[in-house]
Amino acid sequence: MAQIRFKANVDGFREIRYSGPVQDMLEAVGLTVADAANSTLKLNGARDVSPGYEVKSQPGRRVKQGRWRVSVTAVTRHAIRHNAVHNTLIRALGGASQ
Amino acid sequence: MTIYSTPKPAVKTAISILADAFGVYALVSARMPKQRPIRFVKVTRVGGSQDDPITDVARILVECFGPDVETVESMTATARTAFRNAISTVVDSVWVRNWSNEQGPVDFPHPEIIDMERWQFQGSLSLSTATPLSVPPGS
Repeated sequence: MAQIRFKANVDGFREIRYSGPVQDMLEAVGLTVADAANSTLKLNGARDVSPGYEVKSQPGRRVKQGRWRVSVTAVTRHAIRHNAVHNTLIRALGGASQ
Repeated sequence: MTIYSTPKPAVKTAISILADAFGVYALVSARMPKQRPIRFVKVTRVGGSQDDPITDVARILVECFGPDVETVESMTATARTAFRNAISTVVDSVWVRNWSNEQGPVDFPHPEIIDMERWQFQGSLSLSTATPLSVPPGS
C-alpha cells in the first residue's frame, strides 16, 4: 500500500491569511461591529461629527504565524467614555458573532 | 421539520447561579440600583446564538463592583468558579449544559462610578431548552 506523505506549506498558509479575500472577510466583520457600535452612539452635533468607533485594517507581524489584523477601536473621547460606561464594543461583538 | 423549543431565561439563570454563590455578601442584579451597595454584581446578556434545537448559548457579561481591587478580584474569582460548578446542574428548573469560552477578568473602571472598582469577564452559558425531568432517568 502506497504511503501518503504530507508536507505543510507554511508560507502558503501565511499567504492565504494575508490574501485579499481574507482581508475582505475580516473587514466586513469589523465594519459590522463598528456600525453596530456607532448606531448606539448619539452624536453631539458639531463637536462630534465623525464616527466614534473606527475600523483599522493592517498586516500583522511578518512571522510564521502572522496574519492580517482588523480591529475596531473607540477613537473619540465621547466614544471612549461611551464604551467604558456601556461596554458597547463587547455588545457589538456579541451581535456580530451570530 | 425541526421544532425549536423556547429558550430558558439565561440572565435570570446566571443571576441565580451568582446569587447562590454570593449570598448576602454582594447584591446580584441585571441593573445597578439607584442606591449603590458596597459590593455589587451586574449581569447582562451581550449576545449569543441557538445553533441547535436543544441548546441556547447566551453570551453573559459579568461586572463586579467593589470598594477596592482585592475585593473585586476575589468577587470575580468567586463568580467564575460558580459558573464552572454550575455545569451539569439544574438551576431554577433550567439544565445548565456548559460554561465556556470565558474571557477576562479585566480591570475596566467605570467613568461615572469613581468610588468603586470594576472588574469584568464574559463567557458563554449553554442552557438546555428542554425542561429537566423531576425524576432522573433510571431511578
